[in-house]
Amino acid sequence: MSVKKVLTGNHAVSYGAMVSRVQVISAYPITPQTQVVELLSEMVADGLLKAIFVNVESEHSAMSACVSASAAGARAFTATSAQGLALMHEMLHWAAGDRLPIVLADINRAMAPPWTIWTDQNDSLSQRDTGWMQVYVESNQEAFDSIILAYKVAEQIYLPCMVVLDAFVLSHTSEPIEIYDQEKIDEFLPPYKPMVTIEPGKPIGYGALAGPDTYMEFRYKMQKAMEKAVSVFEKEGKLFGEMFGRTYDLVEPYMLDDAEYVIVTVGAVTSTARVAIQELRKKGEKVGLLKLRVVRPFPFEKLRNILKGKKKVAIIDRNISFGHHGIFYEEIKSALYPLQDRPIVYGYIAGLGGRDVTVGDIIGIYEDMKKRETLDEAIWRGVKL
Amino acid sequence: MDIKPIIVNSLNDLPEAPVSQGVTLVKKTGTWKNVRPVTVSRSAPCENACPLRIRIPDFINFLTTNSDAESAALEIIKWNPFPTITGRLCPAKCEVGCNRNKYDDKISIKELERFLGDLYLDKKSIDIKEKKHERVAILGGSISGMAASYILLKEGFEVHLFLKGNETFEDIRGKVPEEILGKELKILQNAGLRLNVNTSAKISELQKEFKYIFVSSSSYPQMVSIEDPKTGKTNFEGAFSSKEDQDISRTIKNAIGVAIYIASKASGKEYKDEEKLPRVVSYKEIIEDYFNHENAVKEINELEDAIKEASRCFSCGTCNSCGNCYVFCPDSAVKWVNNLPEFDYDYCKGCGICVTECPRGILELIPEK
Repeated sequence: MSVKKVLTGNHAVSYGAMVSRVQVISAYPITPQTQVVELLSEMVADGLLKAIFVNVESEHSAMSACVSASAAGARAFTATSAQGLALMHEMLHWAAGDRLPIVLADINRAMAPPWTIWTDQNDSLSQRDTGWMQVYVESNQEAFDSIILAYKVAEQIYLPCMVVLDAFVLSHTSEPIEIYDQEKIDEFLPPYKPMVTIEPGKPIGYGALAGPDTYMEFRYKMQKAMEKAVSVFEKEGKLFGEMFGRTYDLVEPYMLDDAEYVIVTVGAVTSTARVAIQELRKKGEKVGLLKLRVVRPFPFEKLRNILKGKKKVAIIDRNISFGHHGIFYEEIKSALYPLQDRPIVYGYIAGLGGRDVTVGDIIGIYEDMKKRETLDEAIWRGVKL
Repeated sequence: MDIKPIIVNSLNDLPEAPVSQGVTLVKKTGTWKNVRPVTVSRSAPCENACPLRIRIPDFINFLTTNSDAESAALEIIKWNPFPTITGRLCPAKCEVGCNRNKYDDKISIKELERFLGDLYLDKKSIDIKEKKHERVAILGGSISGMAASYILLKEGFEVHLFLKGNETFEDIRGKVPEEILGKELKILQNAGLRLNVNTSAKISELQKEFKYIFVSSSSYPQMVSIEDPKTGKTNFEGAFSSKEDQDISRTIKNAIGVAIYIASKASGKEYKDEEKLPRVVSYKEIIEDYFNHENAVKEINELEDAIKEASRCFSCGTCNSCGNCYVFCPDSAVKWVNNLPEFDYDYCKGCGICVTECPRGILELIPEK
């Protein structure tokens, strides 16, 4: 029988890992992530979770331990934030290149300097091209659910998956979480079967040398796996809905059917945007919301089907690619380019380093988009000019 | 093991993950090396200092690897007929040279020898090589006469020992327990030694009956004069004698040398000088990190004591199967065969870690041709 608990986003992630029956956890503390592995280490110590908790001296080693554990056939988990994720960078490539379905919870924290602990997406997006799948969640329940789903998808396509949630807005805020019946979770998520079994006495090389004659083929296979992951995410999200009552897709439309204008959000700001949309709808505005949940693999077809024929789209980026503009703006705009009836797309940089993005801000973005006629790049919202 | 190479013509020939599908042994990485490790012959300072050239690390390793006291005793007897005697009376130059002196305290080699000699004494017998018809007369029962008797009996001669009085081992009586000397004599008699007591034998008379005569120089100091110390030839045809020394082991060694010369002469075989031991391992070459400071066992009464003391030995220049080379080889190119390392040059890249980590200087890197 399922139970409800009031949990912070961080603890929702810990519970997600526990019910996924992870076998090896290796992590290094960093604000705002620390509570995730703190609770997991207690769960291991209390015997609630049969896992090995590997203490390490850095995030690089944490991911190294996960890589080895996963290669050896264990379900491996870690969590980190910002500089910690950056320090893992080399091993993130290693995990993906070795095709190891590790799950990592990244509590989005802006990159220093200037020193900061508050949320934005630049840490996880700096790891965009490592070959990890990335899921951005809106609520603590979604964080819990996404850990289970991440393993389910990752272990089918053999690529690692990052579950990303906003620092403090989610990580340190409590919400009621439904924790499903463990038997049903076990039914949904069977034990991990590694792609290759390592046997002592039969030496094989993992991640061994591939010369120019074979390297490209391995990269091609990774790309094909990512492409396949789109349908696997969709299929497993539906099955999750049938079993637990919450269906997940790579994107989630809200009041979009008759909308002429669309706001696109990623992460916890989506919840704020829902309120803004409700208020604008009350005033008779034809506006809807599109939540982008899975950004790797990138759901090209789904975005095109939803956004084709719309008048204008505003994308809120809690990140910046310096010298270019918001990363989701870049990606969505380029995805829409092949359409004949593509909308006009504007990108808004907002909420960097944990600055609040309020209902008023989002209404302001909508109004700006509606009246704007020039094709401007990187529109900053809320900068004290 | 299947070590066929994988040929890639299409995507399907490759695994999904970059994992080798055959074993990695297909790549003979040994071709990369420009130097290779080899086991070299080296010796220990103790065995070089020993006049009898007892292979000390060898007998010690019988104790450390298998707790095999009998093999250890036999290894000593191969070089020294009387460990019960030298184990008590030898000045033990081996212990002076011992590398362990520079670390904490020498190995109690002499005490180990005594213990093993005593332990094995009741089982000891002379393994006669091949019976010869020649008869040899030994004049005098001092230690050199007894040592010559031992070797000549072993070589298969009919050995007659002529004593002035009725005592064998006459020069060491009172320094070694009577019981032990009695047993040593019994062993020689069991091998065919014929005793003639209270004799006043003269060389000129003995020459008629014996083709070879060995004169014990401390028993008959004026009888002969040695013309060639190496072969022991004297001013009498067919008579030999060896030099005696303050170092009893040197005395025994000289007697053994002359006895072996007599044997080679009798069988018509060429007499060969003893081979020199290979280069000595110096203390600098010992890796101290692999040893612990431990007090020496000065008195050995039980096998347990002997093994404890033996285990302190650095085993300079002699492999004692410590396994460092096997453990540290990053390429598993050191195989472990019959408790000894064997190099698999197909996979050895010549990194030299085995050479660096050998605590006793047995491995060396040599250039590839």
